Amino acid sequence: MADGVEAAAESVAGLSMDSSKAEAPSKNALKKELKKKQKEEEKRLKEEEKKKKAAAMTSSQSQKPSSAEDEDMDPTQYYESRLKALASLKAVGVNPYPHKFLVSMSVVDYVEKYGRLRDGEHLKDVEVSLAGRIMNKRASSSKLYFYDLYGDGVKVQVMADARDSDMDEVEFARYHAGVKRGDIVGICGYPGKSKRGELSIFPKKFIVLSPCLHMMPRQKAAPGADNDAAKKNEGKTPSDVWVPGMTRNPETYVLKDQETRYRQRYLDLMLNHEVRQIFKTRAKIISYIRHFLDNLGFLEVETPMMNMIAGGAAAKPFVTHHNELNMKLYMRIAPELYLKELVVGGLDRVYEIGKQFRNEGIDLTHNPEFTTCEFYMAFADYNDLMALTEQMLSGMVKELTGGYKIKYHANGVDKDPIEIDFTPPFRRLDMIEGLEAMANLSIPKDLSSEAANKYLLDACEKFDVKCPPPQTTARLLDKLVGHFLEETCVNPTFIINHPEIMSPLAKWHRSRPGLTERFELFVNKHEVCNAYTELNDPVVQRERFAGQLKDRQSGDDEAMALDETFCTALEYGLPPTGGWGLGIDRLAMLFTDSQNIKEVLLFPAMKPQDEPSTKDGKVMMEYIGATGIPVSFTGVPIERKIDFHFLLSFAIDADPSGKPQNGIFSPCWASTLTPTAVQAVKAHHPNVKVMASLAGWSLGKKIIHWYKPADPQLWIANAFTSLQSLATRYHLDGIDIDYENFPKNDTSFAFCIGELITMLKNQSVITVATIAPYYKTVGNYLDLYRQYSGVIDYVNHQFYTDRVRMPTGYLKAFKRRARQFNATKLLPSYEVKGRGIQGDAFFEALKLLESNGFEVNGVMIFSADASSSNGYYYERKSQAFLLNSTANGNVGWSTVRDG
Amino acid sequence: MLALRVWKSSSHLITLVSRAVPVNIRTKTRARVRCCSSPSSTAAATSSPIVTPGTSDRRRRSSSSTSDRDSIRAIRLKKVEELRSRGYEPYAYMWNRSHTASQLQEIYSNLANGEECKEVSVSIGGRIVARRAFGKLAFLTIRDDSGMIQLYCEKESLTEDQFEQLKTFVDIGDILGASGSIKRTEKGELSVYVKYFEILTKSLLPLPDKYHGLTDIDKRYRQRYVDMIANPEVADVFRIRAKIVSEIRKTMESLGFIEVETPVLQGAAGGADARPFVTYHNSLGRDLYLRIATELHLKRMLVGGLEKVFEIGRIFRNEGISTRHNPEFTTIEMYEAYSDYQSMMNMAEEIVTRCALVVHGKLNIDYQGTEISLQRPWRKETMHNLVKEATGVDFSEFGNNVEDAKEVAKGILGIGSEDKDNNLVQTCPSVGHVLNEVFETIVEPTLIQPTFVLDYPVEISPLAKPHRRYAGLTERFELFICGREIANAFSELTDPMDQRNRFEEQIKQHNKKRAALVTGSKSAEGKTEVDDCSYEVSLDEDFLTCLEYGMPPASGMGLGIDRLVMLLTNSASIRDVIAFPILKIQQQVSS
Repeated sequence: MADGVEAAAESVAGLSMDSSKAEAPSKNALKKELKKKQKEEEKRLKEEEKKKKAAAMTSSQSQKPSSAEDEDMDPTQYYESRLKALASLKAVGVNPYPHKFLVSMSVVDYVEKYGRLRDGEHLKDVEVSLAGRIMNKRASSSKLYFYDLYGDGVKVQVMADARDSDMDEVEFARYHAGVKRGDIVGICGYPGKSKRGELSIFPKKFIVLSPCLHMMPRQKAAPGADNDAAKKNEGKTPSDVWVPGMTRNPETYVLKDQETRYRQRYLDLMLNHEVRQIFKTRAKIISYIRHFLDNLGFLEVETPMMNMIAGGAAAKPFVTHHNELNMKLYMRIAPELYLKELVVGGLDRVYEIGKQFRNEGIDLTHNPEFTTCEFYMAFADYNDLMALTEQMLSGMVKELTGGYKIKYHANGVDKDPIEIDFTPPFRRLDMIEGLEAMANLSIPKDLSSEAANKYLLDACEKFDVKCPPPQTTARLLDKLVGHFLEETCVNPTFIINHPEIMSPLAKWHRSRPGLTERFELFVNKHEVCNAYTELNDPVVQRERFAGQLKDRQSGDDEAMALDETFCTALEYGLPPTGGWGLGIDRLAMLFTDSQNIKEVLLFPAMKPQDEPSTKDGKVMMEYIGATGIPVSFTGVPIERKIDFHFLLSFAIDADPSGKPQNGIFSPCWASTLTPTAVQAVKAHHPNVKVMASLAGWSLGKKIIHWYKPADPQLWIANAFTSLQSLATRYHLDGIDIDYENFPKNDTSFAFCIGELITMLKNQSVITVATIAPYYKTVGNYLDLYRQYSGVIDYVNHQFYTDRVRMPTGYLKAFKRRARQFNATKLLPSYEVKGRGIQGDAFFEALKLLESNGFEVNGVMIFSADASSSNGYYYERKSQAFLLNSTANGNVGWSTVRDG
Repeated sequence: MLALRVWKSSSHLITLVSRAVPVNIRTKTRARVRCCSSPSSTAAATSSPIVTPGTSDRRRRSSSSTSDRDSIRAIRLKKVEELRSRGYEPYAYMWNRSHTASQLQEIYSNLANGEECKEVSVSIGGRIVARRAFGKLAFLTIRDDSGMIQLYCEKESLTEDQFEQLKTFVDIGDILGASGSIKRTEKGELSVYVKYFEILTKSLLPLPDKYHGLTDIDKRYRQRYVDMIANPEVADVFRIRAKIVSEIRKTMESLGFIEVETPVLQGAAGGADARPFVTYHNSLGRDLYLRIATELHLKRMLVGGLEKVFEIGRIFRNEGISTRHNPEFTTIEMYEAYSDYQSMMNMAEEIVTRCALVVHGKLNIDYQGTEISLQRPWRKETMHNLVKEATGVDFSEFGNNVEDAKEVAKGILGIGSEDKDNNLVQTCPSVGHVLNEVFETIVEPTLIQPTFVLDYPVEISPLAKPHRRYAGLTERFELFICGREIANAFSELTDPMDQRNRFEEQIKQHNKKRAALVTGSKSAEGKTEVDDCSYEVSLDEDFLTCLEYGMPPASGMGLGIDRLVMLLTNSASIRDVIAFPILKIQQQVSS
């Protein structure tokens, strides 16, 4: 309603300037004249309004809904009514999507050219044609409409007056009633400025070029200051737009919802005008780097993104397959080795700006594909590169922002922003010396020694610095450096001279044994650049790769693999070379005050919104591999329309003698269930998930107990790391909890397991977590469930231990457990050739459950090991049952998402 | 001509010096004495005699050169140790160069034969590509990024130790830093009169023999760096490539286009009809596809209000390799709001001619013996007319009668019903497809001079806008030069309803073709064909939703950068313009 009043006021102002063309002798006279005219106009308008209302009354409901009413429609109604309108246009032979509209000027140029018109000035003789999207529509009367037209992020007002139009009044009114917020329109008209100084265009011709069929999201009218902030944001003109180095607050955006902003970036760009500046800034950063390097005589090259070996960095690659060549290919994780080969080939200065790919989790600073710049410069060393880095980055900041300092919300948008100063030279911090000074340590000089490892282990313990296993010297050092040095690097700081064990591709330091000539540039505690004097001695390079192999064998997945082709290239001779890499996304984040990498990627990778296609989220769960007999996935019948979860039985945190390993889990399932087998079954069946079941009853003859860990935090950390590594190796999607023996009065189980699952889910290591209580352990599992039900997807209670053999008994047991756990998460279960209900009576029981109002959302079977001999009768029949089940699954639990 | 800029650095100060230098030095022919082995390497002294190329000989030679290689490597490794024991580091940290080779050639081009500039002191770095040693005199030729220059090494002007080192430890292939004055020899060779040198990098493997090593085409691609060391002109292709990409970028930016990056990994691969690569993201637990085009994401940007966008980037298609196809290749795609395909023709001419001028300085260029004239305007002709011109058949007369069109097409293409090509025509679901088959086979190879082929049938153009005048056609063109498609452009389809129908039709066709191939042929050959279509094509609902928010009328174009570089560098194969092309897995030669 407030909108209407405002519109009327504006229309008054707008109209009055039309009539104020006559020369005025003095300001006062002019004012008087104006007031008079204004009053006349108001009168005229009021009368018009009256007439309109009367007309509306008489023509009753046949009138099209006005735009105000549109906003009251629900989005589906709105969409349907627009589709109808389009169809009726097409039916009479009008193409609602014209081929071409000749634009004589961009909106940006228009504002530039006519922005200096005097208030109230009109250039009736000038004809301009503009096009853009309508982001606001206000009808003053059926003869006068106001629109906000946006082109390339810049706004101009459209004042469509029937008197200017080439249409007659009736046609004009009908046409404009059909124009909606969000439509793309073309306008031919003349420029002018309203009395209030608003630059406008006055259309003669007004054509919808591409209708917007959806209701455009609008800022919710919230009381108080919030609304003002939003208004301010919406009405921003290019002169007061955000520039790099300034702070931003997406909380004030018209479109705030992150999911929508990232998934439908076009809406984000349309509605939040700052967003286009982010991507312009990103383009400017890249362009600056390119010019900087071009000016130094560097050559831009392109190296393969798909390789036979993923080298040049330590990270998990994406794997793909070339069909015709029948060749396994890896997506590159770094272009380093190829670029150095080009330097061997005689291109002395090369660079590549491009995408790298790492098969890692998605979080605030990681996206599976990201952009880097790497350059290699023959005859230069890391000292030269530090100078070059200072020159490049400070120059970039200066060009983008006009100064050397930027503002950044390092502690969240609700806290004050910090200032980051790029004035060169940047601080330099020797890694080992710095660490020794800050932590008061005296690290043994021979870092490859056991003594050094022991010393650093103790240091980590002393300062409570966590280093999950494997605790290699390199990893321990990295954690300590992260804790002591990186934390101090808010303004750009070079951490230099890394030890050899951390830097397999860097050259040994010319004067300090055990170290390398390497630097990393940290800004706001994050690594932005990594560079070194390149190791070009092929013999030493091979030794380093061998050292990395040792770390890989001790469990460090991030150690680097040997690339024989690269070593051969080095044997042809790589000149002394300095090599340098920069993360462009990280830099773009800094300059755009973004705390999330998704802010600077047009289309960031997103978790799937839901799991479609499977029937109502029904799930079939099957334990496999528990008996150790060579069982396999192939042969297990898998219904395409049902989610199928294999539970690998079991992962156990005990050594073969049964001695507890303090949370370090190892796979103890049948050795036939290899990572390759898991990968294969998942590749063939997109609906299959594979999970590790933790603990189980026994290992060999040793009964497995939950032991109260002395240090629960350490247990959790160990369990997290070991399960993360298992999940990567075996392509796991989740874990099942199957501890079956508990000490008396234990509370640690609920805490440790609950925290573990939460952590695994939060870090996207797993997507599913289930628990498997039996009648004796229900208490322990209830403890867990009551506190952590949010992260537990299913309760596959072992009903076969509940000592019921008849369907009616089964129903009773199910009712009892459904009172304890949430009924929709509870799955009926069956033990093949085992205890409890046996044979087809189980399916009778399932029917009974349904007829008593329970939704059978899935079935758990123990286990595939026993079923293989009877042709998987129960698996087949259970899935058939689930498929034909008429009850609707609960969508709430079927979509497995974090949080 | 290349503009070379030298970056001079001392420990605390950076200065930038730039100077334009012509690059023709490299092309000067020069007598080169021995390339493979150094006189001091005794094992290699029995250098293999020149053998006439032939398969049996080649195998023999390769086996013998393997053992040569190993012994040379062993000897050079010993030299590395020996140097270290004498206190020299055979892998230096850096070298301050005052000039590049071509800069010296340029600066001292007027120096007379036999003349010396005693007072100057220059330093230079590069790889030794030739050497001749006499008693008290040694000539080395070194090459850097810019070109070559001779080193004049005289026993008297070096320390005793250094001259000894030169003779015993320096091999062809080593990277050397040298400083001294400038002298032009009596024979007219500009040289650095060496007063001091350092081995910067000791090479362990011998450079390929100029006359033998390079006949191994496979090795040229597998070890591109060896190719580049042996054939400096190879590197020129990549220099020109960089220049072309840079020129394209400059053109786009000058026209107000903004460069963006859209994802390579996608939930569904759309925007073209091609078999995608599939990969798996562990933590998301789902399959991802490598993009086969950037089209659908760039159009989303138009909807978002970026009116002129482009992306230069890698595209991936899981298809065979040939002289024209590499599984990953580079394209530019551009989209401009409020324009139509007519304006894209202008854009295509603009880009290609600007690139030609920057590379060749003229618009008449040679490609594999044929002169191509890029003078504007280029020929424009509709697809129907071109086919009619070549075959006498006007396909527009068939209306919707596919069967008649197929019969006529088979006649034109000379396909019998038993032919294995029969399937090609037989599986065509529409007249448009039949027309396209005829066009690709008969007309395409004849389009040598630049030609815009206009107005493709709607059935084979699922993303193009219907023609404003001719029903059944679209506002689309492809640009052909030398019988190859260089660019593909259209007035973009903006109607979401129409787009949905087209996508659905495309999926139906794909599935039909797949089904037909599965039932139609069971031979081994048939199997690969089935394989070609065995991937799923899915509807990109997100894109359709995006169109429903309204995309401005626009046109877009995709242009193959590798093919443009091939044209402008006179390269016969795409592998010549891609630094590291994908190759088949190396077969182990059985003995």
